[in-house]
Amino acid sequence: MSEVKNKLIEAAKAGEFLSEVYNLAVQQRGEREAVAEELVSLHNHGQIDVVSEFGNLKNSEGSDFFLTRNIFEAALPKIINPVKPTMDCVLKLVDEAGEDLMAGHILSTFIEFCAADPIRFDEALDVIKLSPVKYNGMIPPVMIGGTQFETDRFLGEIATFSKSHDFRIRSSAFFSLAKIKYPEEKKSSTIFAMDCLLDGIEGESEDRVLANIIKAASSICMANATLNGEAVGCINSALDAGGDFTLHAVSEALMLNGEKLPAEVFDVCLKRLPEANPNNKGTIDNIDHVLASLLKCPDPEKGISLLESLLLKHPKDLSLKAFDSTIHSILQSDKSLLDKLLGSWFSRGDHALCNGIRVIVETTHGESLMPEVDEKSLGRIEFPYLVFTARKAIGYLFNSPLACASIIVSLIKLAKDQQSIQDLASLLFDPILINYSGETYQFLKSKEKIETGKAKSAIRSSIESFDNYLENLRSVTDLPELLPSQSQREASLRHFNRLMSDSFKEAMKDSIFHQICSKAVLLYGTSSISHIREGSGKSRRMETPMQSHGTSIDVPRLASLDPIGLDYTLRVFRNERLKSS
Amino acid sequence: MKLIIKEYLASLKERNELDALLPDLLSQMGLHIFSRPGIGNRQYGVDIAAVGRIDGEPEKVYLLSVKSGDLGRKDWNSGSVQDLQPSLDEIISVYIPTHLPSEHRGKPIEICICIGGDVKEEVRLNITQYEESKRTESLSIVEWDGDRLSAMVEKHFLREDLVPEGIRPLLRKSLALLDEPEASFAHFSNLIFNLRNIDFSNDNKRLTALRQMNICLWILFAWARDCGNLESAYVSSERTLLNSWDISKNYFQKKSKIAKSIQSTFSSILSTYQIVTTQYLSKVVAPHAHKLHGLSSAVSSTEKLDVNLKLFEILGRLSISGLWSQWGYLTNGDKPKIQERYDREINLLTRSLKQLISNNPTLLLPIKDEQVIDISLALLLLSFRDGNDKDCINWLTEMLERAVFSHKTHGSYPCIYRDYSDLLEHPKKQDKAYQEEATSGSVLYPTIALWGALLENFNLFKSVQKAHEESFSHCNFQFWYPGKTSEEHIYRNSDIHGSTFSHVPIDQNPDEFLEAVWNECDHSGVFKELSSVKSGLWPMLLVACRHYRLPIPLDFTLGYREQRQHQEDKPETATSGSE
Repeated sequence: MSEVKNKLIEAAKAGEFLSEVYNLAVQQRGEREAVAEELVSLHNHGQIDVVSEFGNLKNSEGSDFFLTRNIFEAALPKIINPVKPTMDCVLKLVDEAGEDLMAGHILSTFIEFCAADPIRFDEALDVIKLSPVKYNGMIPPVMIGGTQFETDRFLGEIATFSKSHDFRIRSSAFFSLAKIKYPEEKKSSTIFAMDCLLDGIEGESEDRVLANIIKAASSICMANATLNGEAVGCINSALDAGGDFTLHAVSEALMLNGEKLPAEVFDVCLKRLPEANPNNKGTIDNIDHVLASLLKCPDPEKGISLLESLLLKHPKDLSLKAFDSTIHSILQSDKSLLDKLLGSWFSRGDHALCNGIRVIVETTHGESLMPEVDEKSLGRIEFPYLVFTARKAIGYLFNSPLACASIIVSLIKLAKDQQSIQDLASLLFDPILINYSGETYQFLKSKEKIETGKAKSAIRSSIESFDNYLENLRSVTDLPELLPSQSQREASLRHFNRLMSDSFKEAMKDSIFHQICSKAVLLYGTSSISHIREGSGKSRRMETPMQSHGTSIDVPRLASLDPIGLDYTLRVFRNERLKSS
Repeated sequence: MKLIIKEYLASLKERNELDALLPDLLSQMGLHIFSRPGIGNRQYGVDIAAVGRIDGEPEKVYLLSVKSGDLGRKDWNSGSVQDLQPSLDEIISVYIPTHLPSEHRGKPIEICICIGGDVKEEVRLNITQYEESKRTESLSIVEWDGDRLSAMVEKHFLREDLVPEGIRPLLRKSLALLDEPEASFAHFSNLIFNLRNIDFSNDNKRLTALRQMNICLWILFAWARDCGNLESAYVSSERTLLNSWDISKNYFQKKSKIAKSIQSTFSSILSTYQIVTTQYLSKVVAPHAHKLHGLSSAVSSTEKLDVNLKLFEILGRLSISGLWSQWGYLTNGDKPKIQERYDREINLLTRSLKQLISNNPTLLLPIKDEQVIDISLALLLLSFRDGNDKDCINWLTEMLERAVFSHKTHGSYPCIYRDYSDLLEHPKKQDKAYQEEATSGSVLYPTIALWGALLENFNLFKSVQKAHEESFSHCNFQFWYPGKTSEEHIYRNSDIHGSTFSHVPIDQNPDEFLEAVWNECDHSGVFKELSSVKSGLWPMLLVACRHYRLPIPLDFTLGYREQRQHQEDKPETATSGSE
């Protein structure tokens, strides 16, 4: 008898079977299958009732529930055991897993357990029929597995369950329809399933049930394209009556299936996504993936339209910040996409959209973005439309002065009338150059050399205005009378330190390092010495030199000279709207 | 202490500085001054003439010829009209034979060469030779150099038995900390407090205290000027002026000798105050007001609050100076040349004020309601000159728009807080409860409405009404009026005083609003009884309001009511005439 077996038997006798399984799982690492094999052998030879033992597994602190359960999942398909107690054990382990995404994984191994002796599907069905509410969670695996052996009979059972008075049972039935592998050669099964859905949707108001109907409809239409019309109708009806779960199902269908969905089904799903609840992170994450792939397409219009609809529909609750993959996709794609977006969104002036551009631009690190407005994205270019667009760019991208300057220069190039050129040049001076005289000044200097005609002279005029301004400022001699008093300076420093400390703590909350590393505070020195105990039991000295880390930002000049005015101006720029003609 | 005084004397200029100190010094020493420094009157070399005894010596006539700084070869006899030797010659050959009052003829004469600094070695021999050559039985020539003058100042003004305990250290501390004006002023204000709190059982003690205040202020100013930071001197001069007025006010209607001495010393303090404030403005404000962000950038702070606080402070100071000039203009109606000078000053200050506002946009929105004091001073100054109404309206309209906008967006809207650390945190929260607490009362908004009504810009008045209705319905719009105890406390800030007209009727029409506001002035009636107003020194009241942060009394706007009544009377006269 192997050492593992002995350990397990001893542990079972001592009432520590599950702890031993966990220990073996940790120790064996790559050889967990071997432990599972031992479990099968012990169970099938009647030495330990493995199923019964695992029925006592608790998801509590101190042991890794999923690691232990994985061993059972690996063993289950080969275990010989009566169906009912096995179902009880499986259900217990699903419940114990709680809301974890992996909670239901064991159900697929239960299908394999039944498939090892297909009569088990019938036995399981009988158990379910006797107590359908209790064994509701077992309906999908039994139906999914059963249809692989006897499609029509089990579809018929699903149809029966789908008419249950209990919504949980109906929900499981429709979920089963979503997960069944429909045989390609047997279209009648998809037709039957669709009929089932169409019958089920009538008068259905339970959100979870409707969500599963949508999943099933999208699955069925992918298996049988002739049912697209019915699927569209079914999805629309479900969405009309459903809520957050239904919308989540739509987002999931789009995220998982994407282009594989028939176009008309895809479009109807896409159309309803803006109705998603922005507080449902899972749904928003699904939409994020959908958007990211849509924006990568040669024609990103569908993606742009969906993004605009979403942001405009939830201006207060939803920001582009929630769409990480979308932002990444925009920044990774051709620069023209961003140019197009910013031209279109700034010229419209909606806060939700303009703020979206801010989020995109502020996401970039390192080299600054140099966006330029795409003429085609602008509606009108006569005065004051371009100036309005420029003011929006300043209002939202003020902390990215190079981007602002680049946008304004591109707008000057598009301008046809003198008034627009003059106003745009004056915006380059105030508030751009007045506030940012470093890199931005150099950028405009270099632009002045490259550009020609009206753009060159407009840039030159703004640079000249700034040179004069700076000369005036430099002529103001030292005036100690105007300096804040010592007590004010000290109060201000304390205030600043507190703000920095608060913001540091806030940043630490989201820091990945904070989550994966432990923190040690060194009071003195430039390196950290520690002793690491190796596997052999020896201790090894380790000295880690400390590195300084810093970042710098340009503080706008008016933040200290006229902070209230600057704040006011930027708020005006952000909030102003053009009067509709 | 002597070194401090010597340093101060050495830095004094001849005109209006050293020669302004000496009469007070001589008077304090017990001498009778019969000729004071003046511009334009030819004195044949004599700047100050006095008679009396010094240190128990026989009675003599003292003829002072004053020079600032050190005395070198170029000051002695280099061909300039300002040279000392020709002045001394003139005293001997012209002044003594022809201008010495007859009652002093026959008395021994001492010609005093008064210099703030030292006699340089290069000219020592010349002077000694000169003194020897001119000496007679009844005439001597002596040097009163920085050493001797500082000994006199110390002996007669700041001797330990003359000043309350602790005054000398306070003066030293206020000088040592001139680079930290807040601390320097704290010591100096303590000094003033101690000086004015001595036993005033006799008038001479009051006079001495006033002279001590003046000399201390002068020392502080001279040192501040030398170290290039006039901040402490500015606020100290205001504090000195207000306290000295509180001591002097009861003597202003009297004609006794001591009353005249007190009046004269108060005038010296007023003059010192005006020298300090003028110097402050010409150094700090005037050269830079026309530069975009010029003064804002000079605040050199990364804290956004500092620029706002400093610029409104400057606004108030500039306005107060303009209002003193306006006072000078009005009180010299019979002297066209002087009036013309004041007129030029007012125009210059008004222009600077407008430039200050247009080039420093932080002045378009106060951070604290209290800054309405500086705004009111500026409006008052601008209202004295034609052609400024539009600028006032534009300024106030912009201010109101910004205030309402900031309030709606939880920006830096004007709040009731005064403490620097509270202002640093403002707006601390973005909820309604905090916002209502931070704007629970206001003089700013009703003041904007008031000026809208005064300048007959009803759109501005209506905008305030709208703001009140939409954003500030919780806010108590109010005005402050001086009360019965104001006279006792306003120049010293010794207690809370005055009354507040709470919940002013902003919902009424502009005429009714003005009527209600002005009726309260009539009802109170205290304003006219305030000593500064009664004595014609009304800017003193404005200085008190600015210095101790009190709203400007609305009685200053009563001129508008008279103007209106005058206009209303005109058509009636015309009608009756035609009838």
